[in-house]
Amino acid sequence: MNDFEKLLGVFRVTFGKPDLDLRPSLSAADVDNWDSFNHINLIIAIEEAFGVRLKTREVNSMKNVGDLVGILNGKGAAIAWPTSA
Amino acid sequence: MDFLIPGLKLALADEGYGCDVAPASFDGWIPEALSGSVEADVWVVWVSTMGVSVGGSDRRSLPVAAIAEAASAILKRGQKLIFLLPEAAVEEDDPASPVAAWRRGLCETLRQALPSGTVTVDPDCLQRRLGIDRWHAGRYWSTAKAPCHPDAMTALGAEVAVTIARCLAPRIKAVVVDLDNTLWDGVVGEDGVENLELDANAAGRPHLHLQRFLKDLSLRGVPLAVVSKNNRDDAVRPFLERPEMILRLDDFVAFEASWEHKSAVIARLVDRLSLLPSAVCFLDDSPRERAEVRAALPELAVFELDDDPELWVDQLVRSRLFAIPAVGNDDALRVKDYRAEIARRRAADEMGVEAFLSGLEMKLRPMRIDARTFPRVVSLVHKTNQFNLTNRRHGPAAIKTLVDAPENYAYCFEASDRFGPAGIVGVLIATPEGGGCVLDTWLLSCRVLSRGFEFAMIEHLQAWLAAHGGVRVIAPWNRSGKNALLGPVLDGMGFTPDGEVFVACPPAVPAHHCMIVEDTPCF
Repeated sequence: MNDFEKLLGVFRVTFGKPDLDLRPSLSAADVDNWDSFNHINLIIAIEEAFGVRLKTREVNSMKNVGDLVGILNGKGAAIAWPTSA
Repeated sequence: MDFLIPGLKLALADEGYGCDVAPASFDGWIPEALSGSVEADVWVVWVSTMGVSVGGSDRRSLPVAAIAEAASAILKRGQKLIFLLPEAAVEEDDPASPVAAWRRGLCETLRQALPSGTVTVDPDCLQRRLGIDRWHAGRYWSTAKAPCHPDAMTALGAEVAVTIARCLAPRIKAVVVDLDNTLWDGVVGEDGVENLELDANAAGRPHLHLQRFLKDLSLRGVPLAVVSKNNRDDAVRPFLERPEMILRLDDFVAFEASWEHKSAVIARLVDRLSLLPSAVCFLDDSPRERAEVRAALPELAVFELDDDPELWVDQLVRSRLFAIPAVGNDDALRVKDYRAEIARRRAADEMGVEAFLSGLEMKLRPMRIDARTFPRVVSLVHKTNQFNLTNRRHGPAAIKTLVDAPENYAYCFEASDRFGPAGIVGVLIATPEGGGCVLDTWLLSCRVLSRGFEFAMIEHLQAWLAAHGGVRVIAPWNRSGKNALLGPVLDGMGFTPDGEVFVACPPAVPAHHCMIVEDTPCF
């Protein structure tokens, strides 16, 4: 499993949506149960999956999945968007 | 509190309860509690250290008076209140930190201010069990106002669920315990009483630790019983001859030493205690005995004690089976009650019912319902299901109106027998109606059924009727599955159906063995 698939799995499990697809512009507004509660659950799941610690400033600064991927890659992850995306 | 909810729901389901959770607004619980607008069985309130200290930045004081007032309002409405005390702060890694003293002060103030009946939970225990690193995570306060790591909140939710479940009904109501190699190290019949290992600084330690644990349980209202394969003379000797023993013979409501199968002895005991097998825990070091009991009584809580006694008390505590959140003084009385009930039933088994009843020296004291007896009467009217003629769940105001009308018969009844007092067990309220009376409320606590108290109550009513020139008694039996036992009682006194009600003119009170004791008859 590459890091993109890992991230995709975390999103699908956290929001309970097995068909969810990721794109850089995807944000909380696009997923109906992406509320503040599940946002924290998402952060916890990502920290555990990638073995990283996200700072509060980082959590607050990200506006969409593209920002998140940028932060994670800055911490050593290798998330590559599929060519079709 | 959102992060508390998944663990709370899951663990409550595990305890057999479903629940709906409605989060109160962050600081709005006090006005909500005072307004009475919330329909809930249980309130869970956490005054968290992170909240009071605004994420660790401040040391605020608490609106203690308002909290206490809100807590009282909750309890007065009959709702339960689980109150989580401020948790240890991260600074308390250094015990000398001023934050530790400040937080302890908060806890102490709250404990003193909260009304009795509040169930307090100290997150300390859970923090210690999880470890400080898995608890503290200030960033979740910054991002989500969570006082600790969300995973720790889930664990706290589970802790709260167990507390709620134990408040609603204690899981274990009695403990049956083995003797040899359980309460002491050794076999008294073989090793001899003087050779049993009971040194608290050596191999006796885990056994004495268990004794202390059980002693504390019994002091908190859980009756203990011994079931041992032993000669009785051998079985009692350690209690009489070994001063190291913590449990004494009078700590047990029953002491059964015989060579019978333990399951048979326990089944009789559970029956005598009027408990469900699932509410009784059996502790025995022997896997063979446990298997025998479990096979015969699958519902009994047979505890899987480890091979190594050193682990027993830890196992018992961790099981949370014995968690008893709030205990009033009633419970010490309950242990005595159990003891009397066992003595009664054993006597009944041995001598036959009639001989037993005639030797019970039962006394029934009728008392006109007054301010002193009123709360107990209200409680009986609400709780009694089996012997309850009309099933009218009058509220306090309605009962007061009935009692205050001087033309009404409104009595409660205190029972006792040679095994001890049973308190107020019956209520009979009747209103006059053309040449007699109609029964508004007639009930008897299930603890004293089938002893003739019901007949003595009607006998007393008849004396009152006679003094007022009446004879006829109308019984509006509100028949249901639960109060079916009234059928034979009414029948036995010559009541016959008349339309919707049952009538006797006059009731024929059968012979009974209860002496009516009245200081000064009021009529």
